[in-house]
Amino acid sequence: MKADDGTLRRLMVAAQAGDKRAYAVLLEACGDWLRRYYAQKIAVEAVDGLVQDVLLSIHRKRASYDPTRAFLPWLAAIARYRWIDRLRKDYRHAADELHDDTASVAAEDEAVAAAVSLERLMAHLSDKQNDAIQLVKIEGLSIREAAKRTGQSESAVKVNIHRGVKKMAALIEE
Amino acid sequence: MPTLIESLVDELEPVDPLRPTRPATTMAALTAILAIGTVMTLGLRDDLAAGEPQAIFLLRSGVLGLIGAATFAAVVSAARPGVGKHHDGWKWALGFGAIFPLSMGVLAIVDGGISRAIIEAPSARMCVAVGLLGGMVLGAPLTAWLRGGAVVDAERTGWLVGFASGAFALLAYNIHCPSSTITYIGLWYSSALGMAAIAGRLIVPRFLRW
Repeated sequence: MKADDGTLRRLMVAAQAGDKRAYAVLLEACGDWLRRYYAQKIAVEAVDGLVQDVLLSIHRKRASYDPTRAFLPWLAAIARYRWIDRLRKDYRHAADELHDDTASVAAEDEAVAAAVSLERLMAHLSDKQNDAIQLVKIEGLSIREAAKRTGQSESAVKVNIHRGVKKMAALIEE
Repeated sequence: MPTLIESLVDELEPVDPLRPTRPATTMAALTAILAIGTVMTLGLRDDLAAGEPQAIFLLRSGVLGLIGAATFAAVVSAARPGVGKHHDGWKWALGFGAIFPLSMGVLAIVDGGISRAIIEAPSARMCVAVGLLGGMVLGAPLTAWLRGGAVVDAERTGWLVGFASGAFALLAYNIHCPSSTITYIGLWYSSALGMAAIAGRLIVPRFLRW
């Protein structure tokens, strides 16, 4: 299901009131949206775990949604928070198994998707920070491989990852 | 075996969306109680008792109220996150409040230092104590309310809780404070507010959990 913000908002309001049917539809729609949202930003095998983390957060923090505001910016804030939380942890995955579903995001609602996207968040980083995070945390290269690829020293790659993730954590709502 | 979504749906209970009414009412009530307690134990400023408040008192009250309200609004916003939300009013309020320590610095340069009477003022310790301890009293229920929220920047929110609760506590103490000089406000009120903010930064994030 690809729902627009108005539909998601109505479903969330109903879910806050205890409507289980609306909640089930909402969570399915959120799951689909999140899988597209994380496309190219996390490996296939890690997506389901991250989506489940976000769904759990939605469940625990559903009272924090303000029914007078749009739904997707709220969902995106939680999705970004969880993604950055995941970036902080060490994990490795194959570089060639990234999702490639960006077209469906663009087709859904270009303006909203662009405004809340992870690319927009990463745009705040310097090129070196961006490269280090992209190669090590997203594509799964080792620090040594990333250093060789970017021409940075290994310690510079570590520093750029640390500073980049910290910077994004402070800009989640930007 | 049920899927995660089926489990979450099964657990669903109605919830009341977080609204700022409860923490706002609590902060207002605690500030009023602190102000009444201050007046009952320490007394009212002479100019207020005479019904003729000085301009410096009004200015100080206004700045503290502004900082408190702006940082409180930012805390409320932090509990209900959203990409694209911009609540920068607190930065302007703190910038406006910086007029006191900046003026103190200028006056200290002009006068060749801060007078000993201000540094050793007996009321200074009380000012700092009320700002810090009163701030903790006000900050505790605000932090408890925040736990129900979805704070995505715990460190910044900690600072904001410290500033908000410290500013309202100092607003309550302000109606007793006998001092009426820019230098005193720049030194002691800024120190008390800064300490409350540091306390908020150190304490509040520990209680914010997902």
